[in-house]
Amino acid sequence: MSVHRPTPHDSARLHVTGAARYVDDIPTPAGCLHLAFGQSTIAHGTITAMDLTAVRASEGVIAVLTANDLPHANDVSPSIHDEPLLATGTVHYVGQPLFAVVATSHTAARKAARLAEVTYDTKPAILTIEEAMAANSRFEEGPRVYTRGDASGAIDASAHVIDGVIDMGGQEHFYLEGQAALALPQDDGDMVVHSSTQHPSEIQHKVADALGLPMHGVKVEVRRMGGGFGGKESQGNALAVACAVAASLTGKPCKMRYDRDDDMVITGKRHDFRISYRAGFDHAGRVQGIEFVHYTRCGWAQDLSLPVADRAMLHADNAYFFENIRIESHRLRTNTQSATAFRGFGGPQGIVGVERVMDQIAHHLGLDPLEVRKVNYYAEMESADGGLSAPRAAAPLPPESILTKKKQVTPYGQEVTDFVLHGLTADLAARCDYEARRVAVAEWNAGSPVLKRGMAITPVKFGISFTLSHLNQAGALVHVYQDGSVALNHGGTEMGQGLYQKVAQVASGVFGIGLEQVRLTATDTSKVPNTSATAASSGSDLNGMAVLAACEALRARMADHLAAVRQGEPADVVFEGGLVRVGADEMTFCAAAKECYEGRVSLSATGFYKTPDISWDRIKGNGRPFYYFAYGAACSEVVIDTLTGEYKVLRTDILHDAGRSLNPALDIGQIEGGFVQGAGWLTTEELVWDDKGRLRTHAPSTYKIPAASDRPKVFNVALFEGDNPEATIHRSKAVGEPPFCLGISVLMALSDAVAACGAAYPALDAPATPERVLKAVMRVRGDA
Amino acid sequence: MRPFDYHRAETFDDVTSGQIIAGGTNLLDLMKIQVMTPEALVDITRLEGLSAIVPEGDGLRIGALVTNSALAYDPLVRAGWPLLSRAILAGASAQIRNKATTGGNLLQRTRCPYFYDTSQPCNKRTPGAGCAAIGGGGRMLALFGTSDHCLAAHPSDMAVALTALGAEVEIHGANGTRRVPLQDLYVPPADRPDRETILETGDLITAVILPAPKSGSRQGYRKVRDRASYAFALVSVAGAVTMEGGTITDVSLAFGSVAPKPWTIPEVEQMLLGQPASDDLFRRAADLLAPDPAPHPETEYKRALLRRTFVATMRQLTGLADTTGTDIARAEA
Repeated sequence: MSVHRPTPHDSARLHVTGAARYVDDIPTPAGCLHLAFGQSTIAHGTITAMDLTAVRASEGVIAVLTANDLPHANDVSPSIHDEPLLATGTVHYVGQPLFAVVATSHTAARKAARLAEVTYDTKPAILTIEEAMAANSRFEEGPRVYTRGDASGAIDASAHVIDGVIDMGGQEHFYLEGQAALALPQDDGDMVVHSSTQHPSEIQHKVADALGLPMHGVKVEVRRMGGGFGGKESQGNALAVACAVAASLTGKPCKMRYDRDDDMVITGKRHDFRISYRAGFDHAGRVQGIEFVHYTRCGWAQDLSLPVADRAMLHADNAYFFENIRIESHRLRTNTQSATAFRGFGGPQGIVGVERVMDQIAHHLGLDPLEVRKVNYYAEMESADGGLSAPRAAAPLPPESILTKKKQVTPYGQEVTDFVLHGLTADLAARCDYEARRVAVAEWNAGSPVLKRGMAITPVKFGISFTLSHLNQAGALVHVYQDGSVALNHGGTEMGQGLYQKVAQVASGVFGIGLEQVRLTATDTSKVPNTSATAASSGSDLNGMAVLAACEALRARMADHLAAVRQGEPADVVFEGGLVRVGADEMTFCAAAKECYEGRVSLSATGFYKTPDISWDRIKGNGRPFYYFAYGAACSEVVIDTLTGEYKVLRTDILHDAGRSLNPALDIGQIEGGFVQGAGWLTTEELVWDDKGRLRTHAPSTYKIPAASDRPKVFNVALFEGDNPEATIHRSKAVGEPPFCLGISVLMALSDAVAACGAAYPALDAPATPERVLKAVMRVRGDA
Repeated sequence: MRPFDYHRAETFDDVTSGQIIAGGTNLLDLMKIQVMTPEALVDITRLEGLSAIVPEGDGLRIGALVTNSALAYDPLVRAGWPLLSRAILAGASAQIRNKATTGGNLLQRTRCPYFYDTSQPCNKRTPGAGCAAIGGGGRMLALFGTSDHCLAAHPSDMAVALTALGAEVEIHGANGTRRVPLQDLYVPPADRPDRETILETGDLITAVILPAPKSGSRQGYRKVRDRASYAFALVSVAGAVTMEGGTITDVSLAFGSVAPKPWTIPEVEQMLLGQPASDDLFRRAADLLAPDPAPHPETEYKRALLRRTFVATMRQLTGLADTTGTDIARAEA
C-alpha cells in the first residue's frame, strides 16, 4: 500500500526534463489564431471614442472584437456579474481589456493591440484606502462586524493598552506558467477548451453563457498548471471566454496567453490590507480585550473579495483565545486590478494582524514574544481517551492554568476541539534550541554595532473548508480496464502540488496494486460534472474521498463476483500486493479484472463526497465553517545590516501538522514552498502603483520573488506526526495554504532584529523591503 | 525573434560584418523581444586563442572568450585578484555564467526597463525617439555620467571589479591590435546613447589585460541588491587597498550600477591616500560620492546607499571592522 509513503510527484520526471505539457505546448490544428487584449491606459473614465482602424489594418489581423461584437453574455465574473470581458464604455483600471485582437500570430496580435486610438473622458480614480473610505466606495452596504463580549470595555479596564496600524502589501501570484487558454470549435457549435485553470467547471459555465450554449455544449480539459496559487481560480475566465467567442465566430482554433507584463497588469492579486488594532492586557501579556479594523483594497470588481475578507476576519484570532473581541472589515472598491484568491485567501492577512499585536505586547512588557503567544493560546482540550494530543509525540503538558476543561470557542462560534499547538510549539522550541539561541543572539547583538540578529517563533491555526459550505463536495470517476489497469478522474486540478499522486496512492491502496497500474487522467468537465475549484487547500480532502468511494464500490463489485463464482464470502476477498485472493485461490489483479469483465461486471463507478458537519452564517458570523484546523509553527532567525537595510534568513525550523500525511515528501515540499512564498510576500515582493493607478512593478526586473539563494541557509522542516481526529482521507490534513502563514516568522524576526537597534517599537510594515527595514532602524534609533 | 543570417567565423579574417555573438546571454534575450533585430549574426566562439588565461609578466591576459565561470574559478585569479572572482560570482546564475564570456560581459546592455519595452520611446534603442525614463519610473537608473538623453546605468559586476583593478582591453581592428584602459572603452551617452563604446565596425575585443596585483593589497566587492541572488546591483563598490602601519598607501575604487559605465571618482582616492584609516576620513570621502540632487527622483535613495556601502567597504578593506561582523553575505546561523 502506497498511502503515507514519500513517493515522488507523478510528473516529476516530465517537469524536470521539460516534457510536461502545458496549454501552450499542446499541438494546435492548422490555422490556429491568436488573441491579445487592447488595454485601458487610464484608471477611471468613460470611453468617448475608440478608433480601431490601425488595429484592423495591422499585419496578420483577422478580426477585432469589441463589447458590441459579443453574441451573448459579456461577463467573466465569478460572483456578481460585474466584470465584463470587454469594457462597455466605462473603464475601471489601467490594464482593463477594451477589445480583443484575433491575428495569425501571438506577436501580430500583441503589436496590433497597441495601435488603437482611444479617447477618454477621464474621471477621478479611487486608488488608496483613504480615498475609498472618503468616497464610501465599497462592496456590500457597510463594514462587516463580528463581535463577542465587550472588547472596548475590557480594553479600557486593562492594566496595559497598546494600539497601532500595520500595512501589508498585496502579492503577485507569479505562477511560472502564465494564464493561457485554447478553444477548439466542435460539431454543431460545441466547444472544447483547454485552460490553465483551477476551476474547470467555472470556465465551462462562463464559456457556455458567452456562447449561448447549455453547459453540455462545452467541455473543459486541464491536464496541469505550472502553478496556480489561487491566481487561476477566476482569472483564467477572460482568456477562455475570449478564445471561445473568437473560435465560434471564426470557426478556427483560437489561443491566448498573456505575456508576463500583461499578466501582471491585467490580472488580480492578493488583497493588500491595512489593519488597525487596540488591545488591553495584563502583566503577563494575557489579552483582556482586542479590536481590529480591517481595510482591504478589493480592486474594481467583486470577484472573490467577500469570502477573502471573511476569511481574514475568521483568522483574526489565529491561535489565540479572546473572550472579548471585535473585528470590523471594510471591503473597498478601488480603480485597480480586481484582487482575487491567493494561497491563504485572506487568512494570512488576518493572522499577520494578530501576530503584530502579540509582538507589540511583548515589546511593551519586555517579555519574550513566545511567552506572550503561549499565554494567549487556546487551551488543549481533554477528551475521553486522554486528550487529543496523547497519540502524538510525547509533548509537555501545558501549565495547569491553561489546561482547562472549559470549552473554548472561536469568536465565530466554532468549538476548538483539536488544539495541538502547546505540544507542537514546545516540541519545535526544543528542536531548534530556541531559548539558548535567543540568549546567544542578544549577546551577539551587544557586540555587533552594524549587523543585528533577530529571532521569532510564530504559530498558525488555519481553518480547513470552503466557507461557502456548498462548495465542499467532489466527484470522481474510476474505470478498471480488462487488463487490470485503472484510470481515475476527479474534479481536482493539478498545479504542481501533487494532488494526482496523492489520489493515485489512495486508489492503489484500495485495489492493492502498484502505482504504475494507476493513471490519473486530465481533469475534464465531461467526466466529472459540477466540480468546485481546486482551492481552499481542499484538493486531497475532497477528491481523495470521492475517489476512495468510487474505488471501494468497484472493489465490492469485483469481490462479489469473484466470491460468488468460488462460493466464498465477498468479505473474505483480499486485494493486496498486486494479487487478489479468494479463499485458497490466488490471481493477479489483472486476471481478476479480466474475469470480472467476462463475468459481465460493470467496471466503472462514480464516487461522491461531501464534507460533513459544517454550517456557516456569514452575515451573523456564526457557525462551524471549518471541518477542522491545521496547525504549525516556525522559528526563523535573521540578520539585518543597519547600514543598508539588507537582510538574510539564517535559519528556519518548521514543525507542521499534516495529520497522518498521505505523502510526506509532497507535504514537506508544500511546507517549504509555502513558507518561502509567505516570506516573499512579507519581505521582497512589492507592488507599487503610481498616482495614476499604473502598476509600476509588473515584471521580474522590478518585482522580486525570492530566489533559491533567499531560502534560509539552514532549513529544517518536519511533520508533526499524528492522526487527524476528524475522519478525513486516511486521517490526513490539508497542507496547501496553512504553511504559507509560517513565513510570518520572518517578518517577526526582522522586527526583533530592528528592535535590537533602539528603544522604540519597530512597527515594521510589510513587505519589509530593505528600504523599510532601514527606515525602521532609523526610527527606533530616533534619527528618522 | 526576427529571422537572421548566421555565420560561424573560423578565423579572424572570416569575421564578416554583422552582430557578433559569443555567449549570447544578453543578445538572445534582446533579440527575442525585438529590442535588437540584427540582420546577421557572426559567431566567434570557434576563434582560436581567445579562451585562455595566461600570465603576462606579473599580470594576466584573459582571452575574450573565457567564460565567467572559468574566470571566477581560475586559481591564478582567485589568488591574485580575488575581487574579480567575487564580483563575477555576485552576478547572474551559474547557468548564465557558464555561457557568458569576458568580452561579452563588458558589452552587455543596460537593464533600464524602457530599453526593454519596445512600446516606449528610448534613445538608446532608437536615437532621437526620446527617453521614457525621464519623468517615468527609475529606481535602477544612474547617478553619474547621465545626459539629457539617457539616464541608464551599466549593469555589470565584473567590469566594476576590472576597473578597480586597472584592467586594459585589447582590441583587434582593421589597423592591427591596440590596448586601451577599460575606462576608455566606454563613451558618455551625450546625445547619442545608442553609441556605448569606442568600438568601430570590424573591431573585436580579443582580451582583457590585468596588471600585477599590488602586493599586500586587500580586495573586496560589495553588492547591494533587493534579494540575495539573481538580481542586479542597486549600488556596488569594488576596492583594493594597501595599508602600511595603519596608513592607506594605495587605494583603487570603482562604483557599479550608478553610471553608464563602471564609475571612478579620483578625488575620493586622493583624499584617502596617505591618510590613517578612520571612520571620520571615510565619512568625509563619502561626501564626495553623490551628486545633489540625483538626476531622477527615484534614484535619490542611491545617494545615501552608495555613501553607506562605501564606508562599510572601506571599513572592511582597512581592517577597521572585522569582516565576519559587518558582511551580511558571510553571516551564518
